[in-house]
Amino acid sequence: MTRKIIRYASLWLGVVTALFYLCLPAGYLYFEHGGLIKPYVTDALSTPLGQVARQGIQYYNRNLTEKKKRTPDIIQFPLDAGCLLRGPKFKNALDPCKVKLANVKPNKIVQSPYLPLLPGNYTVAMQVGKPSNRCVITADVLRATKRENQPIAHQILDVAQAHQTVSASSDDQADKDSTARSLTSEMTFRVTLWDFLVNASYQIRLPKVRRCRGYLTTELVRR
Amino acid sequence: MKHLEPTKLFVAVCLLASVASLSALKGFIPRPQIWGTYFWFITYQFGFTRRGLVGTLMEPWLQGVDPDTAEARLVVVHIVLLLALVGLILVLAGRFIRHTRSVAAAILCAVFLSSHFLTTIAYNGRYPDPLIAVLLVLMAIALERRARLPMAMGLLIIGTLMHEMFLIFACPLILFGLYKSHWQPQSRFPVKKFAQVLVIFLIHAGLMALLIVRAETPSSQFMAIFQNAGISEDVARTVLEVQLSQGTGEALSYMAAKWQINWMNGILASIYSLFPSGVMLLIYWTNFSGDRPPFKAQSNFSRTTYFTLFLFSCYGCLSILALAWDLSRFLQFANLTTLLTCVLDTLIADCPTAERDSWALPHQDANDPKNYSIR
Repeated sequence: MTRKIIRYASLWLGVVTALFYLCLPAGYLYFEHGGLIKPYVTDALSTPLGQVARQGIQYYNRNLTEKKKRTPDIIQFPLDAGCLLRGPKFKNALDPCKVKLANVKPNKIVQSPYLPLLPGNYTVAMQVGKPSNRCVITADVLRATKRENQPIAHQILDVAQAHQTVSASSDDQADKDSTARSLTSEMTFRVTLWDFLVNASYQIRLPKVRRCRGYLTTELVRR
Repeated sequence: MKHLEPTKLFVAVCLLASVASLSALKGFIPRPQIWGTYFWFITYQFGFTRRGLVGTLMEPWLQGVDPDTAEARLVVVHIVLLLALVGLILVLAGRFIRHTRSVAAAILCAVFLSSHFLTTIAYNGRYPDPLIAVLLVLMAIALERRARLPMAMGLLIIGTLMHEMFLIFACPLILFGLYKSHWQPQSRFPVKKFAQVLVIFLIHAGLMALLIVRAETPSSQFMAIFQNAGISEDVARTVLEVQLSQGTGEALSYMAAKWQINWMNGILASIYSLFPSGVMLLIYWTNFSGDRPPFKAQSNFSRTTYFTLFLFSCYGCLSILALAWDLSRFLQFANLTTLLTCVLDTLIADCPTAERDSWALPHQDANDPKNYSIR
């Protein structure tokens, strides 16, 4: 009897182990570099399957949490100074990005996590509430590709490969219009199939947000 | 223990194929792996050097083309190797399940396929790991069939010339396979015959090791070839001056210092990577080994020897960590060798000779003593 119980226990342990390892996000663990969780997850999301999974999770969560009309092309993501430190987090990935501009000091860079994106055309829409005169937003889209098999390098490598830099400033008319309640700016960029295959990740960076009050809201829209 | 119906075997293999596909896709990244790229471009054109066989064979296809074309071709090679590896593992797993007709065998294989071995192999496209894994599985198939010693030795030559790491991975497996194939139920262990085979194999393995140790230091002319292949100068220099030129003593002393600093990472990585291997052993020993020899051996058989060789076959590959530091790669190979050891232990001990000679023959009851192969 005891032997039978041990046999069944070992089989169930096998089933649980198989499911556990199968459900773990994939990737290449880099214990050598001292990192365990963060590089692991970051790297897992950089695989093609990881990107598809991430898009699926975002789509599912958006439909679950928002009761608005389905807008599957809109991806909202967090964009504050702490996001980069936290890395991609699923729970907060759908929160409308809001940065209290009072917290953004001049020349301080505000940036999003790296986002693995499916091929297509994207638009970054930024909205500032309560713009003051000459409210200026400047944003860059940075592209990072993984050149080495070291996930930890993923965060720092090739950041200089800026694809597009789009600056937007409030037009004079809006500045002069005292009734204007907000300022909206957009910029577009394209993710090619090759970028997708070589695991390019994208980051939205706001190096300059000057003379703006209130909150900055950012949305990434796939056309 | 539940027994699988023959009609369900196909379903079991299909489920295992799904698990294998998911595991591989989780890690598959078709992008440059700079530290493994050199492996495909190092040849014998400047003398006999380590790891030169694959580059020599691939030379007409890879050298003389622009880096982008070479990269695309290497991605194709990687995909082909990955498919071959998954196919061979599924063949072996199917044979294991068909032979045991047990749910436990299917779960054991599922634990292996869901471990991150295939994920890591899929990730390391440019490394020699997929080739080595394919050769290890082929070697297990060779050991399980007739003419095991010549085939195993032939594969050992090819594998060692491809990468010296293969010698460390394959020798424990071959030793266990030879030992099991000479062990006979209900009779004395043929010590003399086994000793003869063992001496032949050890001389062969020793010669291979000597061949690698005596290999020439790679010529600096490879620098230009590497750079034409898109490898940066720093990486090319490190490969030539460290990886391919380092002696055994240097590697050991370097690794000793490395382990002193990173021992905690080593422990964490071992627990994480080797846990599936431990579960596989638990499933195997609680569901299979207790019913059949050598557990039931009365005398003239040393259980200690059996267990030592069994565990050495499973985990002997980890001795590579005394020479090279790449925990995530090397630890995963223990999952493969554990699966291969369990399969060899079952098939060699129980498999009737007739069935071993032909995979197409119908299944015979392994628990029937008259079906044991007596040589």
